Amino acid sequence: MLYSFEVKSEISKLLACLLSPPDREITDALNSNYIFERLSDFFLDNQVRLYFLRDRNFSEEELSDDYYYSFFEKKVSLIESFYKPWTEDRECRSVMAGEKGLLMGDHALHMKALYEMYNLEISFDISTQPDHLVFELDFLSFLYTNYSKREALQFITDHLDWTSDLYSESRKAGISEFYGEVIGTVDFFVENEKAGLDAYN
Amino acid sequence: MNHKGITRRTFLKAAGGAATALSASGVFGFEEWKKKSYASAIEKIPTQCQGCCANRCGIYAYVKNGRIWKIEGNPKAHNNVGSVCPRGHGYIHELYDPDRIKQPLKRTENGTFTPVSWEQAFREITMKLNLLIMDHGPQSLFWLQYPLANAPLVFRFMHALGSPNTISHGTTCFVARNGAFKMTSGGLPDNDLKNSKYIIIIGRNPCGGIKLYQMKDLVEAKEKGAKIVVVDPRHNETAAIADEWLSIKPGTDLAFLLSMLNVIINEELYDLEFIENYTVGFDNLLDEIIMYPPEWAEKVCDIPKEKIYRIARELASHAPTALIHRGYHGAYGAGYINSFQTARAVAIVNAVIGNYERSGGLFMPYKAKLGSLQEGGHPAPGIPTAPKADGAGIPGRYPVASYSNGISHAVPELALAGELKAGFIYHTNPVRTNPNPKRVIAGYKKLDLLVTIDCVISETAALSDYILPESFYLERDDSVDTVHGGKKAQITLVQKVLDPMHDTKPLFEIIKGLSTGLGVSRFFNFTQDEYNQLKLNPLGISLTDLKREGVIETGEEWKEGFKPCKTPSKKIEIFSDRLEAWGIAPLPRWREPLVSPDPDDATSFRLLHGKQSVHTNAMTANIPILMEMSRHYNMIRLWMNRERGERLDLKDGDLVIVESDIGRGEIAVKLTEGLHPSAVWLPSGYGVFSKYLHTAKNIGLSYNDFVPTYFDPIVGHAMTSEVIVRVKKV
Repeated sequence: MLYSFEVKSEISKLLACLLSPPDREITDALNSNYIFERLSDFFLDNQVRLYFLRDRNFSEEELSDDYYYSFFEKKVSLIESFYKPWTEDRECRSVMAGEKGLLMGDHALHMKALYEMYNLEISFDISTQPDHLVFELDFLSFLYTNYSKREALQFITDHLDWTSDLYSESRKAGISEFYGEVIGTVDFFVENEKAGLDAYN
Repeated sequence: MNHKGITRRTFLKAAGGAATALSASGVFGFEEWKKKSYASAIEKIPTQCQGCCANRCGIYAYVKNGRIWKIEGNPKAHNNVGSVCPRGHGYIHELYDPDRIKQPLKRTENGTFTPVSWEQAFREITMKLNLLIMDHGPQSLFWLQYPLANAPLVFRFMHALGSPNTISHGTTCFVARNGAFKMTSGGLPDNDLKNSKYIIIIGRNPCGGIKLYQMKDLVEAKEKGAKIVVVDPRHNETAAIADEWLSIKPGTDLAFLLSMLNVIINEELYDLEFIENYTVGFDNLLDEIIMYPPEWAEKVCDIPKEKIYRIARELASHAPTALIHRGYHGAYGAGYINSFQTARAVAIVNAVIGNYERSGGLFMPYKAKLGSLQEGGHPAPGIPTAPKADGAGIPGRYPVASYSNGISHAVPELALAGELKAGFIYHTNPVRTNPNPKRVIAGYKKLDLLVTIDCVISETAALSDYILPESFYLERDDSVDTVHGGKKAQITLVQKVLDPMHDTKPLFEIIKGLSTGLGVSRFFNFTQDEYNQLKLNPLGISLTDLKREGVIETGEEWKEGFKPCKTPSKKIEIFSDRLEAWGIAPLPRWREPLVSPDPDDATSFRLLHGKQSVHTNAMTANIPILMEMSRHYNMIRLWMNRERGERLDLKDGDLVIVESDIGRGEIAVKLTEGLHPSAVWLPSGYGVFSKYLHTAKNIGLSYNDFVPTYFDPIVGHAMTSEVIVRVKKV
């Protein structure tokens, strides 16, 4: 089924919300099944398992503990640069060149450039990293709302090609079930979008 | 944005203004952007490496597109003369390390950390400190630090609060040496290695615990024909370039030195004119030294008497262009019960051959005298009247311990005794750098408030109630620095070359933030730049010039010729009246190490430790490239004399259990001819156990896990080589 860019934008935004530090509003939206319903409408035919969102009594404290455990204690990184070579610039003689596992790689710089081009500012509530997955999903949402599929596809190809690495990393690290499932959902969404946009192209 | 059920924050918000047409800009696609971005110019900014050791090398930071690109040495800087060591190159990784602390953290009830704002952290910390000061007095506070150029600001802050307890890591590192030279020659001299013709290095390894200028000077001296003799139980990296390696029995360097003095005096090889004019107490030495002929020493230190005679004669024959290196941590920095007197003996051998303030000998490095804040209308707080809680500098306790260094490993003991209630840890990690970690952890846990200022969550930070993230050195401005003094004084500084990546602050801003809530902000009503310019004013140097140059020389050039010592007699005090008055041997006198291996037990060894060129203390183990070098070169092993190992049925690479009275661990063994049979040797910098340091966690062992808590009675140092371990095959 083909969804409007408005719907895709909403889903991308919702996934960004789910990966941001949890608060009362998020837990309320989960407990009311609002998030489950919106995502279920989008992910038809049980393409992804969304049971983890449904009919549970989420507490902000519990989710915060899960968030801390997954992304602080287990250190699963939600930052694109972590999964990619720091730079491929052949001029760089630094020991960091070509290394993975670092922050502020080329992809982060590119994200900064994109925000500047679109006159966007990042919120400092989550992280100062411009290539944090939350910002990237929000940016995708922004593209769906304001620009064409061409930009969305280009962006997914350039910047959201690492979510399967993130998913593997999260499984290996044994992060909380909730956030593991969120990451799985994001990965599915991204892959699906890429395939869909490619086909649509 | 309204999602009906969810009205959420906006992660990306419009900044105003119209969006650029992306297709025209040519940067929307990553590949297009790369082409443009990679062509950007590179900026070169002078600053100072200030991450991981005491050298604080002058460097140039190359910056491209707002990121560090590389660093290289500033050729003008005395301490590194244009080079950067592997630690310096590797340490820039930490800037982009995901393990860095990204904002202030507060411990929660369940032992985890939660991010808080700086305002909340300052408010809560100062509220607790004010209550503790009211209840227990300011002397119940301490500040423990690795001393950097900002140290005077820390003393100012603690003095403003009324606490004398500003302490460095020194008692686990160098204070026996520094105390001995201070008592003997009034301060710590430098070695004029490159002009020397005969160099003895005892238990110091400038090619492992890297001092770049010393490495270059040693090579230059050797090229000019100098003879280099390394006296060390281990065939270290410096021994590799030496002409001769003497594998001395650990803890007996004092016996070796005393017998050298015996030869020099008996054979009248000393410089009588120098002794008569510039020393006191030589006559007392004549009576003492008779007890220590090489025939005696060879049985104590395992160096044949013929070699001792020869080395003593060779040293004296090359004087005054000959020296015994001033040393550092290894043999007599903080290792043994006899370390203070060993370092005194080093100072005295150099004195009797008359090499002080002589080319090729020892000289007092020139340091610039900086200006004061008072001259800028900023009065200093008074010196607290309360004595230091650790007893540093107090007759009857630790008379030779210095006020500025204090006794770092006394902090947990004083916390357990209830004398210290709260403290700050800055740029150091006592849980890993102090002996006996269980005791250290118990002590720090006893505090009512512990605040750590660091870039990563070290073992100590992990125990803290609050962690305040300091900006990485490339992201901050610090105070002007005089560490690069040599034959000419130099001024350097750390200056900001990049914007901070995270919500971090430089130390100066952290102190200012704390001072407001503690009612002492009037002592910090200036900016870092104003502070720096006031410090530079007497030198006629502008801060703008220093920021442009990175390193500026100032004052006159060193010239040969004795200068009055900062001792009561203004001379080199071979015999010390002050030591005698404090009930301490006024002349170096032989004393056995506190503990020795059991000669009847094949598994019994003295545990020694030392640095490798790619790591500093526990600060660099979490740097991936440096840890990879450790793995690649198989550096994380316990050295053992091959013959001793084979008697234990060990093969190179076998896993062994190392056990002392307080600790136990497993590690692979390296069998070698390059180690005295009575000892095993463990490289320092490993054994990290903070769960927040993902690269270094649980790799290797730390010698501190095996060393009991000791306090040398003179200087208070930790005596970290006074430890016997049993080693068995797993």
